[in-house]
Amino acid sequence: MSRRELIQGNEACARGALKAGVRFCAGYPITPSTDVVEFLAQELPKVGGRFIQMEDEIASMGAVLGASVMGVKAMTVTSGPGFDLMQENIAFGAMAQLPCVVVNVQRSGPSTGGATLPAQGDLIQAKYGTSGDSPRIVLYPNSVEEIYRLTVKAFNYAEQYMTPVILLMDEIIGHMREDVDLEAIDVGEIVERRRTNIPPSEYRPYEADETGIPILMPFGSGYRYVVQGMHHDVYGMPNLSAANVEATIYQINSKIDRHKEEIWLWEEKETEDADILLVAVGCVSRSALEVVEQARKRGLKVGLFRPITIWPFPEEPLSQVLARVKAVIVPEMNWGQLIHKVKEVKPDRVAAVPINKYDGTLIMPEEILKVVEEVK
Amino acid sequence: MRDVEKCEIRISGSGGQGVVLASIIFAEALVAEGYHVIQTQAYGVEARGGASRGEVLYGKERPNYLSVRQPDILVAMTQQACDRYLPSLKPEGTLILDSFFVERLPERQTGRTFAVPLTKIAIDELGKPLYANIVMLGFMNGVTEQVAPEHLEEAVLKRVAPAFAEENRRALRLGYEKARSMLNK
Repeated sequence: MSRRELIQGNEACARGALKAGVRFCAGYPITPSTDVVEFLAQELPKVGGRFIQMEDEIASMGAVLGASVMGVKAMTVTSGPGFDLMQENIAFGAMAQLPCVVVNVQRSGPSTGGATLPAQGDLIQAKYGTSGDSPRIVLYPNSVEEIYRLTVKAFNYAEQYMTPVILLMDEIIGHMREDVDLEAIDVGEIVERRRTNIPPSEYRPYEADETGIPILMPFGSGYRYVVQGMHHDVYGMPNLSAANVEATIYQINSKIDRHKEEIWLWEEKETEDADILLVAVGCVSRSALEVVEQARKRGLKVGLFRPITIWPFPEEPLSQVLARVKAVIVPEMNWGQLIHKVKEVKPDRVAAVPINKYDGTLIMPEEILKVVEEVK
Repeated sequence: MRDVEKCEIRISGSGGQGVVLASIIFAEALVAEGYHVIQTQAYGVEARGGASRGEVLYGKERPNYLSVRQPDILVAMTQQACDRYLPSLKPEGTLILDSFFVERLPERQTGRTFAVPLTKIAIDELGKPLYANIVMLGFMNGVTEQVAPEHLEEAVLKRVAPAFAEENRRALRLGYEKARSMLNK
């Protein structure tokens, strides 16, 4: 007997976070993400965790980093304007290599924009919203069930690679309800913070191991070190020598680069013999899936490549598919963001056709199908 | 569970009439029935007082796309909702109107149209207009028979305060019986 329940996307995110072992959430509730913190505010105390409603998003992100330093799985939840405010502390998290999860349920922007209107305007910001070169892992679900899976994954990646991970969601997926059996979903191993046996007197927190990733012992466990945002040496102390600055930038970025193949997640549908490829993320990929089915019924060889990990962008898997197609169509609910990565990867002979919609409504299958008919 | 490939339902009205809640309840009854279901709603400036709607997409397979385009069933609980959403209804689709609020009934060449004083039934029989959405659910299921009545009742009771379970049960039954009597005429 199936125990499928009707669950809202935002609730699936909160339940995924609990499954992953989140014990701290600080946030400044904002539509369309509010349901996530509402759920966590009720459920975290029951498992010995805490939710704090902060004075703003800057403080929320700061509190999350503080919890992470203590070794606690921590997250915050926001939307466009709040995500803007969090950027400085997200960069701090990337620089100081503090794992945490930031959920951004996107709404139409810029600025206040439209609180309840869907848009996909934060794809680039999620990676490049902060100063300097810093790594970012960004995951992008397209169903209620996948929100649950990817929230767990986001915590796993954060702990494994010691960096903030962004879960980018669409308003449509966050607010809608789908039938799922969350209990039956196998999310695999839950990754916990790595520990070391090195005695405190010999401990060098920012010395990477053979995987390129440091082991930061939780504060309060007898290990004393400095956590700050300047270029730092292996002890965490400020050090602006050329060699050290280079080593810092190299460490925080290369640890993602060298593991990108383990971080990449993507979905392909009917790509083997496709002449026309659709590249879409989130809610738009659901419309694109429908287009693949309808186009195939009309005898058109259309396929879908859906990046699930959008940063680091799955360049090699996409370029393998693009090598076989004649044209690529990129429908997205913004002025044009995803298409830049696609253009970077595609061969010159493949035409890249954008579909940009920014009226606060979903791109529907027939809007994509129309372009497919024009391109074929 | 019937062999439904894809069915779209749009329940529209004014903020405060419980159309979004009704869509969630019906979606839960469809899940109990064994279907794959997506439920969405219109929020924000359209809430309380403005045009508001809850939508349900379902089928034997999981629907790909996420937004109702051409409903098979349209419920309109205000004149504004009727005027606004009627053009989207499939020509052969089922239209259910709350005739307590919808005074100008549209003329349709095809499809079934039911004008029922849902809110009046709620006021007269249960003393409060707020049961109109549950009367509507009973009625809609009475004419379309998409889910077993017990699945709908379970879904309603899961979402309403236990103290008002009996009133809601009655509201469902009143709507259902009204539908059966209209069909038998």
